[in-house]
Amino acid sequence: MWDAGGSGLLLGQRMPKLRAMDGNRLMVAVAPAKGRSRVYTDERRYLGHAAVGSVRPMTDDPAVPVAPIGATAGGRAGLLSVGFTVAEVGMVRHEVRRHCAQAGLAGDDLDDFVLAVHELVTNAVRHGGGGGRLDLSREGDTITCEVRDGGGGTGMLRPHLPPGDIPGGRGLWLAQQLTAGLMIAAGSEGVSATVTVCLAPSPAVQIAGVEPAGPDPTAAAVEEGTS
Amino acid sequence: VSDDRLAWHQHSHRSEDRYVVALQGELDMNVVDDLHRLLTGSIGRAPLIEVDLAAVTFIDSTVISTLIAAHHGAAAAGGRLSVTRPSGHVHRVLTMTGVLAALGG
Repeated sequence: MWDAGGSGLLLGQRMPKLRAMDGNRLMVAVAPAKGRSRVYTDERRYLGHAAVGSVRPMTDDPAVPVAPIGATAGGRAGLLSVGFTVAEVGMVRHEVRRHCAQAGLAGDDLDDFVLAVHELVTNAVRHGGGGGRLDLSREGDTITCEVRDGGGGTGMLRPHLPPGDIPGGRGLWLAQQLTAGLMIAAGSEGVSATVTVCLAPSPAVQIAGVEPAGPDPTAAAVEEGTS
Repeated sequence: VSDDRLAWHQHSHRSEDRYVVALQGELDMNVVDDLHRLLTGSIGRAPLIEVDLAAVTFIDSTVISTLIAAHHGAAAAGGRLSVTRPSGHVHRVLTMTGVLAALGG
């Protein structure tokens, strides 16, 4: 159902995949909690659903492809590229909201994505050297936002949800839960975190949210053929 | 910074057996230090502290942590601090994180 680019694994579960790469590199691919994009990494490279093909692996290894995977016609369009420190956190959030709304994102999807991006920005300010850079882009029906911090951070990069009465540590969990996919690449130069969201209605959400419109015609045909 | 200079602090008032702290607008990491002081300062003014979120339109994980910490601070002082009337996306986030179940009034 989901084309992951021709090879590798398809993630249907929400369990984060942790792999150490190149000694000091750690790449994390987190299966999406909502939406239809599927993102993963294998030992050599990031791959993904066509809609998230613009995500770049954070590596200088020439063997790792950085060209869009399954890019749609028209390519990637940059929506916003901005550096930030603590003073710009609110402004960046408002700008991300404005550009995403202009692109057609609305309702809970818009609020969810804005908060997810904001959590990544907040992480960069608090744990990644006091600031970073944000790049928001659109490719086809997918909006992608990459947040790179200033390096030197020591924060934990695994999304997790503490119990409701324990402070701390929900930022990455929210970024994962509220988007179609979260990818994190950490290296000596810093941390890059990327979230995606699909503009089009998601089949996964439809399946989870409503009853099927009618009997599966394929199944009906089989029944008729065997009765 | 005095309370009346905080744009996100709507008002605080005592109402019968409780002390209500009403917030408004967008709350993020840039307000959490002041928010922590505001909530800590409200502890002891009444057995029950209610943080009214009806007019709050945005919160993040740092604000959630501040609310939880204040909740524990109130409990340590023999009282209780709860959040009330979250709406829209604030309600959604507090619910999905399980925080509303722990801190809800």
